[in-house]
Amino acid sequence: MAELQLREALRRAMVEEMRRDERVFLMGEEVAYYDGAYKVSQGMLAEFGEKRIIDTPIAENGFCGLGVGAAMAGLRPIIELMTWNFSLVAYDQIINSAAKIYQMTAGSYSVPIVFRGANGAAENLGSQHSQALESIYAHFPGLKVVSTATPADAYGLLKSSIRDNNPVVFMESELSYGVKGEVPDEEYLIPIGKGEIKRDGSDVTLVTWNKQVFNCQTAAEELAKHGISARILDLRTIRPLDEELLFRCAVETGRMVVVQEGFPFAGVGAEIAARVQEACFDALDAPVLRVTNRDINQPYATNLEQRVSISVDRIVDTARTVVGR
Amino acid sequence: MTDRAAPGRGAPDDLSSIPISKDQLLDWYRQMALIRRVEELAAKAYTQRKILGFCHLYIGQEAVAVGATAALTPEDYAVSAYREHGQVMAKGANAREVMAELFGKATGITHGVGGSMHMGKSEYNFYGGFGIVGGHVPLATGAAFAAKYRGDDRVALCYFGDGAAQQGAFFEALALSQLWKLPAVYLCENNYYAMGTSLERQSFLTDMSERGAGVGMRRWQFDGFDVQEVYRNVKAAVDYARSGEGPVVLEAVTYRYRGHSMSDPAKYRKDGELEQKKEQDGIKSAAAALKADHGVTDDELAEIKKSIEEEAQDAYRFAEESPEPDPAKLYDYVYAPNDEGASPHASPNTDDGEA
Amino acid sequence: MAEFYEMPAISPTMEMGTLVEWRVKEGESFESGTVLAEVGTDKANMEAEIFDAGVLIKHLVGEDAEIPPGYPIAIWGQSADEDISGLLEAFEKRKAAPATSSDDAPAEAEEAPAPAPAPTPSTPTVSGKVERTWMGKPIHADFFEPPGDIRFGGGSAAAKGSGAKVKASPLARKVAEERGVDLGRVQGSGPGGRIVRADVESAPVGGGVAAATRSDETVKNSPMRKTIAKRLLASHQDIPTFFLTTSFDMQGFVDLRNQLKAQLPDVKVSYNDILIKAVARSLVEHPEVNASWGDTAITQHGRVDIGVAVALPQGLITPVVRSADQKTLSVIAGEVRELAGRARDQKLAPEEYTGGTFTISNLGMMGIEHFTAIINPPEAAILAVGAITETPIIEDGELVVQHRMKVTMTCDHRVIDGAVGAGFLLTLRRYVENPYLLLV
Repeated sequence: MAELQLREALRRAMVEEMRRDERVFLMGEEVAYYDGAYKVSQGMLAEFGEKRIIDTPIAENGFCGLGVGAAMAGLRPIIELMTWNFSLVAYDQIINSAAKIYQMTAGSYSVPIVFRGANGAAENLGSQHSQALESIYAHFPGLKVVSTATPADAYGLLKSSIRDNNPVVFMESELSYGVKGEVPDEEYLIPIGKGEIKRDGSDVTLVTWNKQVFNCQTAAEELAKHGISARILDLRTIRPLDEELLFRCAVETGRMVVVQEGFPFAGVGAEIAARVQEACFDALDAPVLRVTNRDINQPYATNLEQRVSISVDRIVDTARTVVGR
Repeated sequence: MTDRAAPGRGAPDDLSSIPISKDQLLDWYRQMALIRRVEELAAKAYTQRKILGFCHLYIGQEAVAVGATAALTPEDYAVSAYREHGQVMAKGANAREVMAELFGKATGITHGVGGSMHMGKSEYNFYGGFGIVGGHVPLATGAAFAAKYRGDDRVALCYFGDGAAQQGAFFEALALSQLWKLPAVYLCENNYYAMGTSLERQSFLTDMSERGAGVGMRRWQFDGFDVQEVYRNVKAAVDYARSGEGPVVLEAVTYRYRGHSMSDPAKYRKDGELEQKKEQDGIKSAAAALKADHGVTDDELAEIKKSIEEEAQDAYRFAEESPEPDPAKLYDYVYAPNDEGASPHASPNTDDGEA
Repeated sequence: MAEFYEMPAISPTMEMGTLVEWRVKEGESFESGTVLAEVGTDKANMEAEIFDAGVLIKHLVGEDAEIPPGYPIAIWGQSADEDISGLLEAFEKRKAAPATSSDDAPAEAEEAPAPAPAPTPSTPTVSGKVERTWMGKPIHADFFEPPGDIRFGGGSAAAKGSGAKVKASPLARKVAEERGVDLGRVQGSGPGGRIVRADVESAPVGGGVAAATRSDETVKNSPMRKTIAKRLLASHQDIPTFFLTTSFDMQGFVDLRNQLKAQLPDVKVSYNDILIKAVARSLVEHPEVNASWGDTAITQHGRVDIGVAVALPQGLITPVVRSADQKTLSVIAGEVRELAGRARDQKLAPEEYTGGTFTISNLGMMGIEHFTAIINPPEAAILAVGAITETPIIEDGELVVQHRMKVTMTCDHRVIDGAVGAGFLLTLRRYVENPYLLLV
């Protein structure tokens, strides 16, 4: 076991996969000579050279589309987006090309590509740089969407994403790159589509992913003081959703709160609430509530930003509302 | 910082020395005639509501697809937008699978799932088949990137229209290709209309090959009506790209005889414009060249015409008689399957080495 | 081989095309791409092209005709003198029959036989998902039940709330609580046996008697009902009443009636008919009972007109036997029968059911032993008659069984005092228990 930062775990996954399979390459802004905007790819240029660690101009549509075309030709690209906010200029390539080519060609071409980068808010970055975009990718058939919290999960899931023969949207978190966690020394893969119970509990399930897992852990400690045993379900993969585990938690605890970074309207929390009430209606003792960002673009000033963001207090209050004490 | 020396504008001087045999020209004549006849029968089927949705016909532009593909090897990649029936046929698709796809049948090239705009098939190294104008161009850049990455001497040919040359994705693709010297040929089929808007109302420059100037790319323009001209020009560009010198952006001046799609009656054309363009018709000029330069007789040409007529009518019948796609297979095409039981310690390079 | 040229769907949305102008004449030849006609559509004037080469043999429709896409408008072939008789026949049939564009054009059918039927599963399921239903309708949602091995109600969910072990919707629980329904005894009709509101509403309430699910019915008040209500309310409110009850030995009536039946089988006389006579004779001797209150004076009526209460489906009416004291039993019997019959047919004239001086209401035939009636104003009294029952009584210290009948007289105390009323009933007793006195 080693304690690795999230960025180190991600790097380790990419390095191992690139050593293993020469079709894998990394492309993005500042990934090579700058060692990565967030130092995720530090040292990789030195090991693999310019052929496989490629700096791009600021042309997301161009290099995301290039990645798709290269994947169709048999390579296995990792395309880094500095943050997922910038993916929007390349949305056409991810949604209309990557997600659809396998079906449009009736299986003749597949697109084994990973798009990865920082997702969600950092601090004081303003509205264009603070968005959590799981929902607008998870919306589309043909894509897989992974959004992890811990270094151990990120390592295992990035490896699986690189080996997956489908386009994977892999979401990290700027604020979490320095978070440390135990990562086993041996190589391992975590299957895409499987969540994990990070903390067991019986009174309410907090369903969450990415950096909100850490907020939920703090909230669970707080809830315990009120005699509430909170279970934390870290989904890890948004699409495909681990329904089996999700419904099991709904039935076993009878109450659910989704803690979802990002805007509430048509967010992933809405999808989870819809599915849980459809399938587990009779097991629910309360409606499924969501804790999300407020329905407003992210402001700059600290006090305002805190007001619109998810806080531990809001998670605790919502869980207590659902439990009734 | 000084600019690097850009390759500049202009075709190589020695184009006319590229040889074309009688058999090649005969083959191209037949291909063009077949494409045209298939497209005409597609138009007929569309008016009978046997083909639905969008249907963008290639009539008038056959010389470009046939001549350009002749300059490629079967391993080279071709990527196109939605006016692709002629291009996919030139790259190896048969009339039956194209017509059946248009009819939405299970025997179509993409099993009825793609339709007129999505006919990609990896056996032909034809990516498709894309509906977002200009969005497909970076995919061709990616194919060229893969070729250079692997060092396998393949080239990627990207067809696009004058309309696509206005899209941002197109610029980015050209910029990336030139920056990294990728083996790509970007071929604009300039038929002077993007849907109903004529070119000079869309772009200040009317020669789309000039788009290459902004990124320092080799470029030139040529006559897209004559299949021999097309072949020579594209061959020169493909050879240049294959040699590692860098990508090329070309413009083939051409014309479509019908509207943008079957829904467009093309009333925006000037009177007499169509008739004037038809005088340069590629099939007619190929026939004339066969007779004049290679001693082919009218009877031989009539034989070819008869043979393609039968092939086209057969494709039509085949499409009509083929079954609809099986709904039970609908979810087969959501995700590509992953390798079963892939051990984390095994490397695909040692297992089977296939790329 | 000649074939039809059908109106093309030039515009994908067009439903009709107007043939504006033929561009190719009969007998003229054409190449692929030739415009055969100019056609007006919903969008604009368009050109109908033909994508084959040949000769136009015959126009089938004229200019200005309105044709739907798929309908034949011309016949063409490889030469102008091909035989088109078969096609013409088919065309005529097509014109006569109500057309669908798919079932005509035999020439088309020969060239392109109908495609082989596509293999379709009999219950369309996509990717093997089982079709679920609720209330008889298929559910097309993907997530309507959790995967089979997730057991409902496991773990701490069971400890929460009332009825947690029972699958019931929140609304059903609420209604159950309001109606006092035990959810454990309700059968659920929802998905997976879930109890829904409708199930609770039709379930037994509390311990057992089936809760009425009959809905209320409103019966509009008929004029008769309104009149009855008005008069009897007024009577009940305005008249100070008291009640006198007594019972008679009916052996005399029983014997008399039996004798009459034996002697005059065709004359049907009921106990009530004899009672009417007895009451009438009694009233003659007690004019203070055969009376009506007036603010200044009480009127003691000279005539004795007995109202007989008749039950109708729609209410109650009292046809009057006039001067009953002077009529024979057979006459009384006949009149009562006739009046009652016409009362049931609602054919009584007002003067036939008003203006009585005393009313008899008999519920004996319905098993009523005793009741009190409401006075029919402006009368001063009404006699409520019960059933004749075999009753054990003590007579001279001995237990005997007699035919006895209870009567209760309601009296208007402004007119009749207790002793007066009692006196009348004594007289009535004398006649009822000794009916031969009615002959005198």
